[in-house]
Amino acid sequence: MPDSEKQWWKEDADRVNKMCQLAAKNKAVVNCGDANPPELNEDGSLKEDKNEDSVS
Amino acid sequence: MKISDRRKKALVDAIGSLETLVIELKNCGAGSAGNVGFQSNNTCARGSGSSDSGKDKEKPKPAAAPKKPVASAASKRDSDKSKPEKTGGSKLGGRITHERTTPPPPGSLYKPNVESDKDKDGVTDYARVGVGARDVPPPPKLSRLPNLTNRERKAEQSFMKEFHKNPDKMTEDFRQIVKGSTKPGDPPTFGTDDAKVLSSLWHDNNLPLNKRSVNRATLNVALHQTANAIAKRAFVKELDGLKKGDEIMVTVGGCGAGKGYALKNVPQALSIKQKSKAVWDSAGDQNATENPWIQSEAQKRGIKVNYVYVHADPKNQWANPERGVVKRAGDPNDGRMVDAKVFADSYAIGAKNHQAFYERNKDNKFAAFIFLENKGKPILLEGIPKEALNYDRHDLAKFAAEVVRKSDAPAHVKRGALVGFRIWKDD
Repeated sequence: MPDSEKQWWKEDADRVNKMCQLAAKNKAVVNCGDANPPELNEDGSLKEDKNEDSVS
Repeated sequence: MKISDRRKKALVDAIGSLETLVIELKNCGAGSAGNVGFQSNNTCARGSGSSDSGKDKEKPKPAAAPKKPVASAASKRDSDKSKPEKTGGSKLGGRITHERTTPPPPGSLYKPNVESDKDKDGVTDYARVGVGARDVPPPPKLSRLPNLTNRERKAEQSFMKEFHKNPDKMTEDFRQIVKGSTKPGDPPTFGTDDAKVLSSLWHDNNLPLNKRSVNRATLNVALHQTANAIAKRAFVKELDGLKKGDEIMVTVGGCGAGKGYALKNVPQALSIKQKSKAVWDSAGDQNATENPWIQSEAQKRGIKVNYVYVHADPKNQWANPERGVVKRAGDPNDGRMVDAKVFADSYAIGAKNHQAFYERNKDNKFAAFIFLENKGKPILLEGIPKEALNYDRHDLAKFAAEVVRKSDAPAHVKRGALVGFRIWKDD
């Protein structure tokens, strides 16, 4: 049993990551596009705010 | 003043769209423009969005000369792909508020009134994200969020599209992942956030942790609609396998309230879990709106529902430098981040919803309730504390935004917290 909430959060993150591994193993992951995130400014806004192609 | 041809065309298109909208509102019997938008108390607008008609076309259409009624002025605006939208809005979101957005393909836009309670049961009908509280789509088809950037829109659309292609397969895939990751002796636990593991954006073997955590923080909202639908379908399927007299558990509470932690540390709650055949770990994001749906699904199968509500101080849960939501999201091994407005609703609306639901069901033999508090050492409570029923969602959202903006949190955590000031700039 986790002795602190901080410890519990870590365990919960591990739990999710294990689910991710299982999803990959089961070939259940669907492709949702480019996984490389864009660059951000320090305030979290996009460094390059461009409107690319439309989404269908 | 010179007006470009493109602008002229856009104005003509807009006038055409407004005319269509007026016709639609007249057909709905709407009295004023105040009803514009996908409001949960406007079923006509909702239906006209074709969300459950199966007629949505995924390919974009030109904005001119729309033949079908549109869902709302907002959806019309967002479905006009010819002009990228620059949004204004609250200063709290900073530059994020003004980022360019990419409209969704034509169809229903998910922009409900989060305070609407159409059936007057004391529980609001829609949260800011997810699917309708009583819906298990499809049907209806999933609706898209407003004001997403191009990348957010791509994430939303691709996840949604895959789900619509074969909802039963994705549902079953998720069920198998839940069952495969359940510890021996524990009941399977179904949660909306966990369904995001089905998206390549949540986990990609080729992606380093620091990039994965950016995706988790910044695309959480975009993936939520589909994840909620998958989790709900999977849970219903699980209920189908239970028998009359079985019991299940539902955990309820604000985002990052420490529901799982409190549950593990209060023996009374733990014993309820041990006798439960399945657990619905409701996302704080849904503001406890799902309670009536769960109760109804369970009750018609003769199953008893044990609700475990976890109260926590939202300001501390957000800002605590050791264990707050902002701090947790900064961990590259985690990265999950909730938007400030969604977070605020989850405490302010969620507590009121759960209290109303409790009052209506406290004598229901198919429902039982316990209340916990997580303020360091989790303890049992008599009920939801009075102060929790008086939280103001706008004040909380403002607090959360100000804290994160002034913090030294990584840029992607700030982004995850503040995107709502662009997405829901009017609320």
